[in-house]
Amino acid sequence: MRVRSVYRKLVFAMVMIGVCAFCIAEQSPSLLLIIAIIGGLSWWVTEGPHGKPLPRPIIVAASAVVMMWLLFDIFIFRTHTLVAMGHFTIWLQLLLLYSPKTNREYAQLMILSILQMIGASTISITMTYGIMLAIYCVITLFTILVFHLKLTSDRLYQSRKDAAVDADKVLRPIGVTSIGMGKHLRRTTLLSGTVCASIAVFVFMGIPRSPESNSLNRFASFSNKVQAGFSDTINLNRKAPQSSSNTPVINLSVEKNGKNIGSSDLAWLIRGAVLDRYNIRSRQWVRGNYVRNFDQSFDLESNQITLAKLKQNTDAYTATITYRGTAPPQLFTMPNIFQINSKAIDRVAFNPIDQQMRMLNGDDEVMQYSFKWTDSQTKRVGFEYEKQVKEIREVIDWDNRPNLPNNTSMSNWYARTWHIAPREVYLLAQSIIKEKGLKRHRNALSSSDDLAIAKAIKQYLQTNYQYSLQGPSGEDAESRVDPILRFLFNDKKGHCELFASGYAALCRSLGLQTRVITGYRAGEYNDLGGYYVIRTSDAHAWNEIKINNTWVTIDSTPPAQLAQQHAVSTGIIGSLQELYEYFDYVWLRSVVTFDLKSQRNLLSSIRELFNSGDDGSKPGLFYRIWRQFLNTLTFFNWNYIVIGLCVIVIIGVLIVFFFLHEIQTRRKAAQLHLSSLPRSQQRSLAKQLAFFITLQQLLTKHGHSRKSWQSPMQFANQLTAQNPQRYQSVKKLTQIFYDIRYGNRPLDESRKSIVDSELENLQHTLTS
Amino acid sequence: MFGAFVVSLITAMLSLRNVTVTRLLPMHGIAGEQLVPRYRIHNRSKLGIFNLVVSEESTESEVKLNMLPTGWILFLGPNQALMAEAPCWPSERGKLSFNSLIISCSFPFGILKKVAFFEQEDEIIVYPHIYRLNRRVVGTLSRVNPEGSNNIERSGGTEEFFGLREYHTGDSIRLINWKQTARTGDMVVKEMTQPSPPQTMVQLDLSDLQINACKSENPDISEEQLTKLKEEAISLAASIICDAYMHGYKIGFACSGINAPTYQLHHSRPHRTNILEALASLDLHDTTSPDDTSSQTEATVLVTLTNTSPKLYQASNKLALSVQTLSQYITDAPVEDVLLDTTEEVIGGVA
Repeated sequence: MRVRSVYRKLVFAMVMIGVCAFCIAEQSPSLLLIIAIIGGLSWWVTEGPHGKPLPRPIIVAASAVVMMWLLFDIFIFRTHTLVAMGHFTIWLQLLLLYSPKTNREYAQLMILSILQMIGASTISITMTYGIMLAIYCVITLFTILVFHLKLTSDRLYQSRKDAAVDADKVLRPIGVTSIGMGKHLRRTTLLSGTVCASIAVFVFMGIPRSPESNSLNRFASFSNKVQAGFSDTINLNRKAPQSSSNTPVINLSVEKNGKNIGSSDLAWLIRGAVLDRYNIRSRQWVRGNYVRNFDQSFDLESNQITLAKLKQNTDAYTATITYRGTAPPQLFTMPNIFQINSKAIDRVAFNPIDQQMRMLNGDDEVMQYSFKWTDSQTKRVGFEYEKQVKEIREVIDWDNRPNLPNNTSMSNWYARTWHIAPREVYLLAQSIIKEKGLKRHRNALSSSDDLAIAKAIKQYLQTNYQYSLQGPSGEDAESRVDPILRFLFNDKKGHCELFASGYAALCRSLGLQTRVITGYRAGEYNDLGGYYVIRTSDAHAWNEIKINNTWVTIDSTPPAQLAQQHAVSTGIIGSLQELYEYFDYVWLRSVVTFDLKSQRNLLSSIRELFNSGDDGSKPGLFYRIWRQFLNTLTFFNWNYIVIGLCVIVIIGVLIVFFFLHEIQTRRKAAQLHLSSLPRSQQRSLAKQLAFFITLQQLLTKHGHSRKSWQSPMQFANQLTAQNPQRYQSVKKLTQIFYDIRYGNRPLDESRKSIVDSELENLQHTLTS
Repeated sequence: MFGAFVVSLITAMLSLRNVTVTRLLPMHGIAGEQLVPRYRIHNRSKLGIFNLVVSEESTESEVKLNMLPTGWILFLGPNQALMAEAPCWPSERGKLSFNSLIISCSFPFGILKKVAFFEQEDEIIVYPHIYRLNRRVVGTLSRVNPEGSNNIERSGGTEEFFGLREYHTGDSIRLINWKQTARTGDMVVKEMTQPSPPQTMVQLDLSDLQINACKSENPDISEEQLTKLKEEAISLAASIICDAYMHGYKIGFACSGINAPTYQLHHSRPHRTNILEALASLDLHDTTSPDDTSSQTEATVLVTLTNTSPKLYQASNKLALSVQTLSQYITDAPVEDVLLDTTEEVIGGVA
């Protein structure tokens, strides 16, 4: 084995995998491409047919440039220190690949690579990086083992050179090896890796990250390129937060009465922020101060809070949300939420007016929560808030209410007024509903046609306006004309935020309570995992309109164009992507988010398996199996039990006999030097050539042992030469041995009879 | 790290069990030349061993080694035996003793090192350093041969014409002298002389006379320098003996001034080996009395310490070589392996 050559290849592979893994962790394909080219070229430059490392002065000068680049990266480009250090180590490693390398440089390369991987581990939580890390660990382990061999060889070589009279004539020590070194090295590496990995897993399971650690947010803070898509305000001067990124941000699973009802034909709108006030100056939709006053906090006792009681015959839906990135303070929910469960959340703020929920206290890494809601819109049933929530509704700070018409409850004017070009907008809205034969007075609190009016306006927008992601230009942002008016009267095209804003303007001009919702549209269903994948590009805006004292969800964005926007890739690539994301999701849930609580849950679930149920809880699975077994024993007759035990004993004896036979066969095969043959051939020959072992034992017993350098026939000839008559049988038996071992002859009856008689003769001759 | 430590601990506990080592030494070594002890390592356990290093614990002898012989085996499989070579470079002639062996293994991570000791005493003779002599020296050796001729004046050979005799049955037809046969009518055959190899009797002169002459030539000479000169003289004598043996000379050796056996002229490898061993074992402190004349022989080559001595011997037609002009006799070319039979091995030291 050429240790140096193997080591050079291994260290190159280790460095390249390390730098590529960092690029993957940083999600920088351009850097990955550049580094792959430069790194690959280094092998050709230094190790190619005419390969020669670059002179040291060039390497030193380039290192100085890299150092300057690090300062630029940190202070000019404001890259995070960890990422900048990662870039720095990458370039240093690439330079070292081009430089002349002694063991010192190799050790530097390995240390830099390992440090870089540790850094990369803190900036990425993806499964791809996890796989790269696993591959890297295997290669690194192999490299370290071979490096140890190389160091010994080099140390020996150096000491011999120092001792020799003529150092130039000293040759590098040749690694003397037995047969099968590669196999043993692989086995040793595998064994070492398994032990190390087992200890690592044990440490990981036993000593998880503390709940106070902010690792997920820390991970997310490095990936500044990933846009969440969702925003808790809408700024119409800005381009819509429709990201081109396809990064999954949330996984959503929906159940109805305990059954998963997710499907690729069904899309859900999950609410994030509820915006009821439009600021004319800043041209932003925000949450008004009025509604903020009704936020009330609740503690999640026993990891859950029930906000309302369901009326009878009302279907309940359960949604489970798993974040795959940073969790915003808003908790994504559905309308008419009445219960929330989470192990990570300790306290929430809930507002019964806009039903917006925020997390007040809990782990920063809120990775998962579930909530229940009812679809009161279609069922005409619903829920009644719990007493504690009712009390909130009664405690209204009427003294600070805005200047509103007398004798009018402020809650009636919530999300109802429109002040920008109200007449033009009103006329447009009237013209829309007039076409449908509907009419409404702007001061009316409600009317029977409200639902029809809402649908008419929605249909009008979907029919006459175009969906476009093109954002406002610089001139548009500085224009005196409000973006909503420009959308409604001039452009007649825009993104979902403009559609939602325009719809709210039209409805409010007619006196309908309308608010704008931002959140995500969940339409991409992963069949494998049974959940919806919500990506950054799925961020969406829509409306809720109050009809008959119930808030109804209306999405006025043209559905066909919206579906096109959120189209899911199909075919093999789509399936592979689905598969990958499922595994990534599993990785995220089982590895990345494994914390103290997860550990406790794991331990408690293990404990529950053995729980006897004495404390009134449900007995564990193993305990139940054990009880069932005992019950079965008492149920059956003792005769059957005895028979069963006998059967078990017989089976056990047979198994032991089988193993003993196998061991004996292997021993025979080793004695007959059959170990290099396939296993089946070994068994067959060991069985047939057992007589030869008996022959050897017989001869050894009488002081004739075959020398290790003698072939069986040479030994037989030697004995026959000593005493032809006495050892004639030895020669015959050896000939049969040759026929079977090398001549592919079977030990048939005739040969067997010869073997038996000759062995008997020999025994008789030797003893006489 | 903890995992690596655990793996190292387990490996250290399991490795080097049922491992035996046998040292195999060559018949001799040469000062300044590579000496290659070999170690046969047999692993009788069921586990393979990586990165096995075998070395000597220490050597207790007058011969200095720049480094202890250290051999390396990359991998030794279960129930297998391998030979590790451990070259070393003895710097002086004499007896080299080996006491105990160490085998060690720090695989896989070098964190823990398992070491095993084996007591095994051995000894090897290190010959003096052998110079590669200039060809002119060998030529001179033949010229100063007192016998003068390379042939013995005796029939029975195939070299030169010796005489005529009558034909005997079995004589080669090629030897029949047809002219004389025709003249005499009887079959007459030619007799040829036997070849006679040249012979060289080397005398190493380390007598007090030489030492005093050396000191008078160079009054500032230290004992250390004098010892070095003596060692060079021994090496020169050994080199002449080896060279003369290689050229087929009968060789003999005598030493004056130091107790050493005298070897009469003879040509055989054991004879040459005996002389070299005697040279290797010369004790410079074991001097003889000035009156002792037992070592005085008819030497044809005299190795001396001083420059003045050659002049003394020129008259007697003897070749005198002084270590002061050593560079004139040797070349830079290395000593070839064929010069000495270094490939022979014997288990357990000197044969």
